[in-house]
Amino acid sequence: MSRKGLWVAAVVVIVSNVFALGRTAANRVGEPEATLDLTERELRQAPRETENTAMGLRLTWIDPAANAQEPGWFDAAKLAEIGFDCSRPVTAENASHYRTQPPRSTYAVLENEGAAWQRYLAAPPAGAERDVLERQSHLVLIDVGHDPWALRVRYPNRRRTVIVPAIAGMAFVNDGKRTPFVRGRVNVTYPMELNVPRHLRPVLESMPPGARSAFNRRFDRPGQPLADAPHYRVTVKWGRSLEPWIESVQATGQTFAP
Amino acid sequence: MIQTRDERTTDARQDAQRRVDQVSAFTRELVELERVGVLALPPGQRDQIERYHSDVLATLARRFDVDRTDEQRQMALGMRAASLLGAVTLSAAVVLFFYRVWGLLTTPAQVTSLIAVPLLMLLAVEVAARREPTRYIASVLSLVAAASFALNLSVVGAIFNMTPTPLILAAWAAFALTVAYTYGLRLLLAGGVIAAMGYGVAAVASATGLDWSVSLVRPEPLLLLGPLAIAASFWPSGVRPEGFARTWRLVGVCALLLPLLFLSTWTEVFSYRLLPLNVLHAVYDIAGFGLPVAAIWYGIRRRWTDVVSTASGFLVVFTYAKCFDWWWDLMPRYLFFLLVGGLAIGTMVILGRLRLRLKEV
Repeated sequence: MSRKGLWVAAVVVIVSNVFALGRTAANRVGEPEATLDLTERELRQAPRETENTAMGLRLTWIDPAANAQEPGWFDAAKLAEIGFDCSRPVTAENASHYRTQPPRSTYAVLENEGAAWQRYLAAPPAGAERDVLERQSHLVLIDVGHDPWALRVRYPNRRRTVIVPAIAGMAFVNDGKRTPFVRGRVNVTYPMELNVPRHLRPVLESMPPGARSAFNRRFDRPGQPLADAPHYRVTVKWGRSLEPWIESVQATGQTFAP
Repeated sequence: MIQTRDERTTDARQDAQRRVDQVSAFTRELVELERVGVLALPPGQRDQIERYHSDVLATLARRFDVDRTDEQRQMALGMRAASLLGAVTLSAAVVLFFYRVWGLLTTPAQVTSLIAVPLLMLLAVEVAARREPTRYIASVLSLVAAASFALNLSVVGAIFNMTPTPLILAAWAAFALTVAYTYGLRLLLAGGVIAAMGYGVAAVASATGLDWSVSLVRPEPLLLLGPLAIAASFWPSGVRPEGFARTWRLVGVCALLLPLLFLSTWTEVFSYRLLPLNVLHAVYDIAGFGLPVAAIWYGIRRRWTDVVSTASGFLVVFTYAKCFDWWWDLMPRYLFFLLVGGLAIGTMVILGRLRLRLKEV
């Protein structure tokens, strides 16, 4: 083969990158699809590694119905709406049919400090303490669907709700004590981690050593006095392709108490 | 079709190696014929042949860097292993170095360096290919270039928080196939074909709404892609590097046969269920036995030893898997293993008789 293959390979590299950068630019043009003010609760710092100098923030959300003893809103009808085959009766005999269905791509609606969060605080899981719940993410999964624009029509508040690409799975629940049922769950939302550009890192890098792990540790030990509030606030925007970028990072002024 | 200088060099080196092997085989056979008394060359003629062959071998070794002895061939194998190890470790070094420094760079600097590295590696491959006819260094650098491009695509996605897409596989496949054909690199060809197949499987999964990152749980598209790869090995190409047809064939056979193992045994888990399950069970069971047998038969006819070996290995594994699937729950364990052992011996007897018949033919 002649050396024009070398030029073809170079063109492949350039075209791929132009496509990716063009898509990013198109995503950020015009009005954002959503703008949320999130805190350390919803955007936790990813563990830092010696071999990786990048910094990322992990988007954290909660699904209050995840461990409930009933399907809730993510029932068989919702699962069928996003493409799962729920045509067979939900019985123990059909358990294999439901358990072998692979995860599906969908879109998830996350609501920040909205009605779903207030309901969750008002009726917390048994044994959960309010101050522990307060330190969880206030971003709540409230719906899924295969058409993001239809979801946006249903949830028009762009400052409180965001629609993100997600992967949903199905759980077949049969504990022998009650009628079996299927319940959906969102396994992953994209992106799992938001890249922090270098010019926005100083606030996050200024946090005292151990602050992040202490924040998580206090969350993990209910009942301990919790003196800390989130140390930073992050404004995140989502564009037309439902891909986010970090607009700003600000310190909240909370001092860290060991 | 007019060949470039390098294409002529590649073909010429292959011809030179075949000539050297031919001379070696002739020399060994001549010794054997003289030993058993079938042939006795006059001394003058024997010296003339030896001088001629000596000149030929020296010329070929000087011009084309061919292997003249078994020791040299073993050394060449060692060099291939070393080049593979070198490629893997250098690729890891490039990737890890970038992860070590990218957090210190601004976004424009990150993107610029990510695009520049694979382009610079392509340039390095070209320089190495021009300077070294054997292309060991070029093959190492090409694998590093491919790894750099994979790093480029994945990190650009991470920088801009992009949703993962199977198009990454298509882009990488295009890059790998282009470089493989340009420099005659079989390993990169195999990687490119596999990536292209991966894109096909992922694209079908995405189109049906499945999460493409776990699309291997639905490998049925490979049953079409495998034969396409095998068909590509027959494509009449004016200039096809040595071994490419074999690589296409081998990847195609693996892509066709491997999914059958899972589809036949766990149809309800791995199938798109376009037909009723009982029909699919029967189809995949028949295909699991029939296709490798057909591959063995055709591979013997065409002297494709790699196809025969691969299909034979698959048939053995598939047979044992089906025996387990059918009989494990039906009989005592000792009887099951006795049956499977008997099956193995029966297979050996049949293959032995087949081998004898082939010898007679």
